[in-house]
Amino acid sequence: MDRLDAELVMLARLAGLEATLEKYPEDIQFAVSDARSFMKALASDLGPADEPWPPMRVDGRL
Amino acid sequence: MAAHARGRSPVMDLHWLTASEITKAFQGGQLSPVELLRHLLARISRFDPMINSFVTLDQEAAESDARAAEAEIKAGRWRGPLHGIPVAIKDIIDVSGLPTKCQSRLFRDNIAKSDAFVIERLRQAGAVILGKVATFEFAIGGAAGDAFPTVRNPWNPAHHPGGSSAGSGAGLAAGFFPLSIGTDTGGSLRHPAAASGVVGLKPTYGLVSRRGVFPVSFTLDHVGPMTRSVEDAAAVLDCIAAQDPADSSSVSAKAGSYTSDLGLGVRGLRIGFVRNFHETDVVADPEVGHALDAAVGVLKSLGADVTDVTLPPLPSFAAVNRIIQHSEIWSVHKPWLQTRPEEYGVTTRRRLMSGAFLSADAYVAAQRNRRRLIGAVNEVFQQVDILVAANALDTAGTPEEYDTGKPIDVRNRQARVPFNVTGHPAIGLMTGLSRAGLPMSMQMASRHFEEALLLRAAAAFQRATPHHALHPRLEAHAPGD
Repeated sequence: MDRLDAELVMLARLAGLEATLEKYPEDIQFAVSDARSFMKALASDLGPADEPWPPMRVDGRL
Repeated sequence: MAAHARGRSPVMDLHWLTASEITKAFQGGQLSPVELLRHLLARISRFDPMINSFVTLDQEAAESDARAAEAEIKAGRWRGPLHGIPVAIKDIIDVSGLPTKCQSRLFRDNIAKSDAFVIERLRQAGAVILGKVATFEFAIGGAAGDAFPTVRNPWNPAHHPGGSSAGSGAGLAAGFFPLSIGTDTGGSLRHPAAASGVVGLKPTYGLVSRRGVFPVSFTLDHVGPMTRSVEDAAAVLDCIAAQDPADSSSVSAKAGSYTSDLGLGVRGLRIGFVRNFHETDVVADPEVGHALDAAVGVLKSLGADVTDVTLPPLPSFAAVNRIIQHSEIWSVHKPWLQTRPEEYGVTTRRRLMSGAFLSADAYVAAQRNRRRLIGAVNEVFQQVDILVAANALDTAGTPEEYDTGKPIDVRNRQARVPFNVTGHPAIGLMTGLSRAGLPMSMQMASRHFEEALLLRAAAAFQRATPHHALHPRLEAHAPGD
């Protein structure tokens, strides 16, 4: 097993997708590649004051 | 086309009438709900085998609803502008007693036990629920049919009608119904509006309840109308916009009627033309760009004060949208993808599983970027009242071109996401036909909860242009015609 396969197996295992990897290894590879490109495209110049949306609101409606 | 008319003057081409025109015909005694329904059912029976817009046609219930509406209208108990009007529902929205298949093998036997909030509202208004129309698998998969037939574009059946509210767009363009309800997580109301040449309105996040709608992405999902006229979109929004305590994102923000300002025009409105989306960020097909310029010219000629504005780059919105959407949908589908992956189509499976490999850090960073992008758009809305931007960057491609990784799909998945990320209301409407005879479109957006202003601007454009009155000739494509 080469390094790429080992990494794919590890990632699939962490996601609980071992059985899916056996049936659809290309799809897992595709999904991993997509996820990496998505994360790479995200701006990384956030400052400490940049809070997430939506804000936590305690209004009794939860 | 035969006229189903009685009384004073005949009503021709019933299938192209808008809901507001139908209502006038009902009230004038020229047409009845049952006559209209029978006409539309005959048209669906003749042409839908070619278009595949319907997943479940509930003829029996529709006839019963139409008869009830007819009796009430005759008795002088008119409920309002949707009374007796047929409406088709995207098949991720629950209609009690009907299957919500989500275009998936996984959900083939999933019968809804109750109505979604929007269906409850439509029923109260006396609308006739025709049935369920096609989507992409779980509103995120590919356009080419896997477990279900591929939906076809009435303007050219070799092309796709856009999605994921594909059956809504195709059915409206085909004249199967005047109203539909769809959903929009990354442009799924506005893309079929663009590809099929109709109107798709994504309201402000929280204005229309998501209860009873199978989730794609909790914080990006919007429910809204698709129609052939802006006036009809306003009438449907009037009906479905209401606070729902059962939806945690639902707010009470409706002020008055969305139809009351439709005739006020755009004179004096400040309109910002977002050129960077389609001229530099992701360059639009030249024909689409020219049509957009022409549309802006129309708005200027109507008295709008148009200036160019710049928003953050389209890919920055798309990056945020993808990470949030894929993280949230993975959370929904994880148990099934772990145990029943074979029940998904290949494009859907790949798209859904990408969420498994996104980090918590990426999700939080995306939501932090989202807040910044909302701020940036709100800042521009201090200078202008309405934004105009490209809706689709290309005319409709073939179904196979919407698979993951294909160039047109990569471009397509960016054009409309800004207003899902920011939650601003946005409407897609036709700007003309390409040389190949396919619809082109623009989107307009307004400040949060200013749908009345947005619809007013869109209605002014539609009144001043002939595009919405163009219809495909299905007879030209139908076998045996």
